[in-house]
Amino acid sequence: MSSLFLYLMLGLGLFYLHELVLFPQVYIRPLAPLLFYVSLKDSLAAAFALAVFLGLLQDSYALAPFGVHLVASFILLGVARAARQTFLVKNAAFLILAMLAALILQDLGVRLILTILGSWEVFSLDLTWNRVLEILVTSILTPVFFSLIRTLEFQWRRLGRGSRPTPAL
Amino acid sequence: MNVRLRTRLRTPVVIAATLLVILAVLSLSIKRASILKSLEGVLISVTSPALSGLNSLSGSLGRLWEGYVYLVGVQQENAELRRQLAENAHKEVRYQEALLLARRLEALLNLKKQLALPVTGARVVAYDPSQWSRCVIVDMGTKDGVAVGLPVLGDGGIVGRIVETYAHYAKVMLVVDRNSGADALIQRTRVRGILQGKGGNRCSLEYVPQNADVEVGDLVLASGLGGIFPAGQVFGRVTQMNKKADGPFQEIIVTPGANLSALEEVLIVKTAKLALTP
Repeated sequence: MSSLFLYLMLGLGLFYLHELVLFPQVYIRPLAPLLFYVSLKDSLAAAFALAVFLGLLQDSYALAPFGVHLVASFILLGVARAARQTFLVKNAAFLILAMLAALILQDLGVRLILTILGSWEVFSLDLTWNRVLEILVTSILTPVFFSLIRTLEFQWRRLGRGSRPTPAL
Repeated sequence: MNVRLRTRLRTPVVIAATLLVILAVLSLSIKRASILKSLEGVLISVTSPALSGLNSLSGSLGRLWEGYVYLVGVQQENAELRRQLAENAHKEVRYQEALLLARRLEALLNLKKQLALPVTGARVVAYDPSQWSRCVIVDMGTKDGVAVGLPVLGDGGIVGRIVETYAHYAKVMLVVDRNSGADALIQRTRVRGILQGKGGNRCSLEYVPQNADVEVGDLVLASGLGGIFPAGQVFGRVTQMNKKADGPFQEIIVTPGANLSALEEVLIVKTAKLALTP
């Protein structure tokens, strides 16, 4: 429960960071590595809750049909759960490849959903390069994001242990 | 139910439940259900104030860094001079910021005078984070008299129109969004067409016959037909064209007059002859 709170706050923080600092100059999806990390490492319930929160948050600020970002979050969660192996968390090269595959599948999934909904015209050619760049940069930086999340998680746990009263002898 | 059966059923149940949730949300989205609009409104109302606050805070910190901390590092040898310099720099930053704000507001005020329409100023608090659509969130909502369908202008031309309203915020669909369309004309030759958003930072002028006189650099204005955008307001300029395109029409690319990637203040025109449902 405590970890879930950290993940949700981290998600909100990364969303704000993206809105205030990164967008539109930096092509990156900072929420994707967080969701991937939680899906790989934590329980399904925590990953599911985070996916719903991030999906709905992004859907609220977008003009695309409501639910598209929710689907995108679920796809990322699904891919991470399917490829849930310890070496993915530990080995940077495998992690980059797994994230790359997950983001490509996510993009294809969103395209499929938008095509089904009749919004296929959103795939303009001039934006394809931006998406490719976004996917590549996010994948390459995933190990950095993982380290950051792990450090924050460690500090958060230490903080939780520190505030607990010492048992009487 | 024994443990093994429960474990075996867990994954299919989770997948089925997820698919059900997705289908329900997408179905409600297509029907424009009020529950989703309410949910969207709650999320925006809860998260936008912090975004707005952080925006101001980051601006202040940026000004502090550029105008104070950096100068302190340079003038370490003379404490008194450093103090005076930092003070002056701080004043200078505030002056510059006030000057820039005054210039922006003056531009908007000039636009307001030219328009002779009841307009109200609003600040942009958030951008659409995805690449699938183009919209911004402004800090005025139904409580300030903002309604769906009202046109939004910026320094340089038309920005878009209101498509969703909440109590204190509203969502503006930019003219470059794929779902945006408006009747427009070329100022020089009065040739008319439909200005269609193309995503990214551009629009296209559709249905202009091959023999029509259009050149790169021509100004594209709102015709006033359709009742959304005030007649004579600038959409942008023709930046690319292809008269040899297949079919009976030319391919004309229009770049918006307003810088849609760096919007800070906008004007909401409070009269629209026709309020459309997005």
